[in-house]
Amino acid sequence: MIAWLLWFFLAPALLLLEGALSGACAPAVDLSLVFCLLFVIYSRTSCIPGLLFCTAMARSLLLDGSLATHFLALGLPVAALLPLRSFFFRRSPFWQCAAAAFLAFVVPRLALFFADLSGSLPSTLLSSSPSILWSTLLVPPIAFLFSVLPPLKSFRELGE
Amino acid sequence: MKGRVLFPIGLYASLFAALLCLFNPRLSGPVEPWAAALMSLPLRAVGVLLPAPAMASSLAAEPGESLVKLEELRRRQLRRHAKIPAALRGQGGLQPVLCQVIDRQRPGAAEWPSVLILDRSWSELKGMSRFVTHGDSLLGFLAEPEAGEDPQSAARVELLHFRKRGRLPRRVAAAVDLGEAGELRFLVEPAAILDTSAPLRCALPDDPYLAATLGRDDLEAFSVAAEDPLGTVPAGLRIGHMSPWGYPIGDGKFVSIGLFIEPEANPQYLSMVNLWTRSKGEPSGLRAPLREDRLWSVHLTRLPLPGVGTERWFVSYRWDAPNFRSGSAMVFGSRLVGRVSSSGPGHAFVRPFGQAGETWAVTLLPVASDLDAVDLRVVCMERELGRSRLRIVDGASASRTGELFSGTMSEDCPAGLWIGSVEPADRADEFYVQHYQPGDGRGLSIFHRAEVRR
Repeated sequence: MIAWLLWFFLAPALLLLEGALSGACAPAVDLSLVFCLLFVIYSRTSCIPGLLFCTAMARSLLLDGSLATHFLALGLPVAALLPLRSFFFRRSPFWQCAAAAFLAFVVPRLALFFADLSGSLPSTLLSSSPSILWSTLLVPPIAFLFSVLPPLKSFRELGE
Repeated sequence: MKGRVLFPIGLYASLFAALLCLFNPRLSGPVEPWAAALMSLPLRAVGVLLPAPAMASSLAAEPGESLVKLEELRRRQLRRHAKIPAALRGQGGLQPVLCQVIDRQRPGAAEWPSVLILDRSWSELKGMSRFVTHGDSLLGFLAEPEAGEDPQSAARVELLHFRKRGRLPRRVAAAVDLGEAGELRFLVEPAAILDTSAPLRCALPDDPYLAATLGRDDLEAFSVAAEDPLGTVPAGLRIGHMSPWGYPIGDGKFVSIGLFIEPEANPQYLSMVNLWTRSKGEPSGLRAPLREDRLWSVHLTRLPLPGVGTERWFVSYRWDAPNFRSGSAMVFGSRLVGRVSSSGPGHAFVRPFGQAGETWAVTLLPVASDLDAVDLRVVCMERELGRSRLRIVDGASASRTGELFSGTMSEDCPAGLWIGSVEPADRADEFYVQHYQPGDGRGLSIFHRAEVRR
């Protein structure tokens, strides 16, 4: 329960930290992609809806778009990648990087699509090739780092 | 275990629920605002605890500066609207009563709002002529208060394309001048909701054969005198631009299957209308856009946000303050600085003016004093430090240098708030506006028009 509360309050703070760092250092990494990859690879399946809810809530609090818009933009790629994790991702850095590239390409497009569908303002810009490249390289190690730190450590799949 | 990973039913169910909420936001009910209020508690605490730096001296002068500019805007608006259109001269001493639009409602044909809410009550507008104008254009009619409606509640104007279930639409007798071919007379009525091209259409033309071959798109429709049991409409008022829909059949001939009319004044960005009265001594002045007792002081914290060109402010205020609606104006003195994007108990998130992608109704007051203020609809293209680039999407202005004021955006974001000074951009339909930069977050308030009752 404490881990859930911590994640609920920490998610917006991490997004603000990302905003503060993005002005200070390059390249900026989209932490939403980090969390998506973390959920896909390391988190217990039963916890993913709750974790996504907190992440989407934090995004809807700080960025344009409703909770449903962000939940769908983050959740659909996670749902698409989740069945593959047993076969590909867990111990293969190559597949983890491929999944990060997929997320970096798909999540902003889905966010724009759902923002357009719901008539809200777009909350993101389309990812450029360099940003996809940086995400491919940086998102997997940062996701691993977050997965061994509290509170997300508490949601790791048992036996990991 | 593996089956749950391959087919995560909980995740799929939540995605399905999110999809339902996307199309029907009411399904999420109070969950989202309360979760947002809970999640922003740490922000609220930080906002209260942050030390406030000294206020910049240039910002301290802003409220006075904006009042001077507002006074100039009102002087020129009154000058413009005091002109009596040629069609109304000699109509027994009709005098204009300038009213401010405070909200728009009921999207009708072409998705244009079909009802305007005025800043005056039914009782204040008693005895007015029913027709409502903007310049020399006929806009619509002053509605009747519904049974049991409070006479002190805000009066409504039903535009020409207003429709109501169970009630026949109001039709207006009109004509177009065809030169040597004479006149084509018809009735103007609201187009169907499905007609996205224009909100009005022509019905019952006096010469159906002429109407069926009318291919010209340079015709202006104007009202004509006719016996109308619902009230006389003065002849000669402009109604709009006629655009025939049909197909060419060769030899320069055209078969029209529908004659539509696009009104001159677009209610999507209209902030002033004229009512007319024969009695002397009616209030014709403009009211101040803000009232001191409707402003709620807030404390601002700037949030560093991920993403390029986005900025969001977090404001906290007393817990007993009203729940500010999305779109409420945040002001510094009487200068508009942003609008509330979401709010919860004791806090709100504010989107500063000029965020890319936002559409605004604005009024541009040209620097040349002989030019009138013009209402425009603009979309924000980009926001830079201290200024934003805006593109005109509706309306036209002869000048791109002057002062920018808000148009009517919603009930809680009134027209006439100074935004900033304007200078031309490279494109002919674009200009830059210098907008407010927050200093220490003091002196800011959110406007809540609580006294308007419907």
